[in-house]
Amino acid sequence: MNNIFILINKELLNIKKNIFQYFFILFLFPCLLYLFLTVPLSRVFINLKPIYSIWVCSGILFVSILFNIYVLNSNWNLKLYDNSFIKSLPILSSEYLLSQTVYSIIVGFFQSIITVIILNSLSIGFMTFTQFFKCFFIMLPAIIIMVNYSLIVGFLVKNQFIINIYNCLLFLFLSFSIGSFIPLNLYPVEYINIISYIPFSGTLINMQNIISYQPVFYNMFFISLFYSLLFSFIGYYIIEGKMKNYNE
Amino acid sequence: MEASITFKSVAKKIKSETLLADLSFGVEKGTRFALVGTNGSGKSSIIKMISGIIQKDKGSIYVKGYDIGLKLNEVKSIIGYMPQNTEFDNDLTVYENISIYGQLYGIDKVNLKKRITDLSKDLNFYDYLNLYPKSMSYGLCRVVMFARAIIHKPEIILLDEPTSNVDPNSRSIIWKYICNSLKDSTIFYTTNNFNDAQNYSNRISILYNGNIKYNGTFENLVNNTHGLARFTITFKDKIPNDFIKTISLNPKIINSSYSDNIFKFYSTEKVEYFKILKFALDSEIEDIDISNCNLEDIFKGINISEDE
Repeated sequence: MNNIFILINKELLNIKKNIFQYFFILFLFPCLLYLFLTVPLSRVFINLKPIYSIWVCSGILFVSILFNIYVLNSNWNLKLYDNSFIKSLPILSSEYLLSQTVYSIIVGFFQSIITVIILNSLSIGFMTFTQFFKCFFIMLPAIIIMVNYSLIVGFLVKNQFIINIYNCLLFLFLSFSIGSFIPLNLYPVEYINIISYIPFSGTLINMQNIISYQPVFYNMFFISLFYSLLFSFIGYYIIEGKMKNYNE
Repeated sequence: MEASITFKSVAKKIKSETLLADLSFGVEKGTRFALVGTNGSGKSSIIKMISGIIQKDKGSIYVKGYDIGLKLNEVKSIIGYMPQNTEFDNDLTVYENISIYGQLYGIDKVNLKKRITDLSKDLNFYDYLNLYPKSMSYGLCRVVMFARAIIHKPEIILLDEPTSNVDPNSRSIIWKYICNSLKDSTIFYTTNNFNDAQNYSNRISILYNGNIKYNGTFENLVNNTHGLARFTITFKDKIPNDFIKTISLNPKIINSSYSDNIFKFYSTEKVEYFKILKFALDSEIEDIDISNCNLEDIFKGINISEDE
């Protein structure tokens, strides 16, 4: 347990050392999403209830948290799992995975606070405290999935250029394929049927429901939770393989 | 004597090529054990296998009685590993870099501070504790990496080429500390620096073709070579061609080499040298030299004789 805290502390110390750069990223990302996507699209989707600028806040929150977590975790993976000294330390793979997950939840929480402050000051009273905590709780499985997804990408793709392209594709996927900025009902029915199997879209629908004071679909939450466990299982074995260099 | 590290018929393949084949050897507790070998001979792989970083394909490795395959975490907690490449967290200072890893080895913060201060004073980097690794010289980085590897006072210290490309000052700091302050620890290190291996180890092993060719003290190694000596003849002018031809046909001459007017060779028989000298006297000679073999000579001798 102690190792988990030390590993988290190490990464938080890294953030502290570059606090302005990190804060800038955490601040700028939701701002730009609002400015370049929400503002113009709010003039397109004028019939959406509640008004688009409130509905889309869950999308901004969702994209900014998950994308930043993905990027920060990719950096963590690069620093930790390709370092032979780290591999010689008496740390269990489960401790690495847990520390990475807790670290992502902490960073995600800070990102969500910053995003909510920005959005609350830009739109009109969009989120109460209860809604904020409900949204964050609903997002936890998605955060865990994203942590492990970054591990899977790091494991499968070694070329930095291709990883950069993957980052762009992930941004496009999170922003435009699961209903973050464009309502899903505008997509073909066949596509909606496929995308509904991806746990992210269920999480997003629940967040949109929380903001619109509509009931949460708990079955979607549990499906996301199941996926997060499945991804954690894969992530654990990837770390175990990296730590013991089975492929070397 | 108690064994610290034991290899039993260990084999390792890398990309279908055999790196180590049926490797067996032991390292006694408190030994300074030097492993020398050519580049790519598998020295670093052996160290990585002991520290659990890479897996063996066959055989067993025991560290202080623990089977690495079964008790990896116990093994990791009693070893200190210094990798060949410089690996630091560049956003953290030297102090933070050492401190974080000390904490991961379970040292509490108060003791850790004292330990880092003591180590940094002994190893001469106290003034650099608040610097970032990026701004330090390579030699200093190696000294800090050495300090990081021994922060938790490990029983077994694994050093992968600790002083390669290191300036003489940093090198002597590291060796002085190893010889004076780590007498009770088992030091297992790889090196391409034969002087270091000859001067600072009490046991040397030569790794060749995936197996240990020689294993013992330097004096034993010299004895095992049956009086192998290095002979040098310096001619006044260019070496005569018929001299080179005749010598190269002599089966008792090992690893002969020449450049312009200097002819060098190894042999275990001095009689042979005198015969050659007699032949060389047909031309004008400037200087002659006979010297005992050092580790580098033995190593070269092994490589040549095995290749032949």
